[in-house]
Amino acid sequence: MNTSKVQIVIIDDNRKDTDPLIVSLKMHFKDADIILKKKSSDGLDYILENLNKKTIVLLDYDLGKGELNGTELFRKIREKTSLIYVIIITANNINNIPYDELIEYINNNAFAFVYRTISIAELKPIIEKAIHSLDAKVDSALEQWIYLHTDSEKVAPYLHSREGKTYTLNQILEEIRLQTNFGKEMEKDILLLAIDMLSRGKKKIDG
Amino acid sequence: MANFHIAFDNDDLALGYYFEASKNDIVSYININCEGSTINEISSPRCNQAYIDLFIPQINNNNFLFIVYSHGKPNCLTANGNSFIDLDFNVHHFINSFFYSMSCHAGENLGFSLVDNKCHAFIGYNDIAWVLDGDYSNLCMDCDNYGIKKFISGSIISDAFEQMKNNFSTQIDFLEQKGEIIYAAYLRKNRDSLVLIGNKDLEFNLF
Repeated sequence: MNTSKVQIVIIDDNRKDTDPLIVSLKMHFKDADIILKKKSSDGLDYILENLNKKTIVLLDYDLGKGELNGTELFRKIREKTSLIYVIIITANNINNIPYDELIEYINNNAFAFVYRTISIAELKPIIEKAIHSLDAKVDSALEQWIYLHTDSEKVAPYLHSREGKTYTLNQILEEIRLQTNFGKEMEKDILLLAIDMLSRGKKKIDG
Repeated sequence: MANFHIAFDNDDLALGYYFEASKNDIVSYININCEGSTINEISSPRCNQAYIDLFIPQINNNNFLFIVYSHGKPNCLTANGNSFIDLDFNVHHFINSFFYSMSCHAGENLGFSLVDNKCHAFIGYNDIAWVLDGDYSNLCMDCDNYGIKKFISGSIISDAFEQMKNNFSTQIDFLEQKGEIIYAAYLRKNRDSLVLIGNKDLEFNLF
């Protein structure tokens, strides 16, 4: 399993595989998997089954018609992980999006809001920025690292506090994905480890 | 001839095995390196306030070493779910002791209170202390017991404490080289929460 490959998942009921956006993405992001899901439920299932992959979602805000709409789908993703970047695409004027939905997107780290008419030249740097952020984030790196372990390793007790708490790797993964205090503290501890090793001359930053 | 008293909560569901193994490790070391010393092993059934209040006053006219492997909080050490050494009740019994606690948080308040009550010196953690599971449990135990072993072998307490921290750093680097980044991060956390309180020039030959 190549855990470092990025996938760009487009969830949009109005696009086909031959859509100019899809074709352009395949051309500009040759190292990424470009995946189109036309039904929001299929998109959600796919994302949740592939949480171990570095994922950027292009989510159609205007999804709906008997399926989860864009905001509901975004909420479902955030219930499971904060490590996936979601770019919202809308044909609506942003002024027509309900205020409470906008607040929800902002507070839950939607990566960007773009209009459906955006050109690939404008969208490309936004996706590149998301890919860079995925590569540089400690939480994403930790998630990838945990996924390298076997299933039995992931459910075995891994770390105990002498306060009486025990964590398996799967539990640690969940804490990181949900950005709990423990998960955030762990990210900080990884950074502190890096600083400690750099300051003691045990590691060098590659030029 | 030194008098060692070692409290260990071997009945603890999650970490009883680790507390007992830590005790066994230091007992072996004492038997090999401190011929003629006495060792009083205080297992879970006797890790209670009644035992401490009855027994410690009988021995505290002379210098003694008290080592603890149990859970802990800022103001107390716990076993069987109850505090057995508590800042509010019985720290005054530990006059003339050297107190070595590998519990969570004991260095926050309890250590200072012990020293205020004429305990010679205290070594312990002033934050959550973590235990690594699996293959690296012994490495974690080695780090925990390193300071007391160095003290027993003749280093003054401040030197033993520094050697203990240096050994942590060595093991952190080892874990990082093995790719065990989470364990390395948590061992660093343990190292940086270690405190020595009290007489920095304390020598083992006083015991």
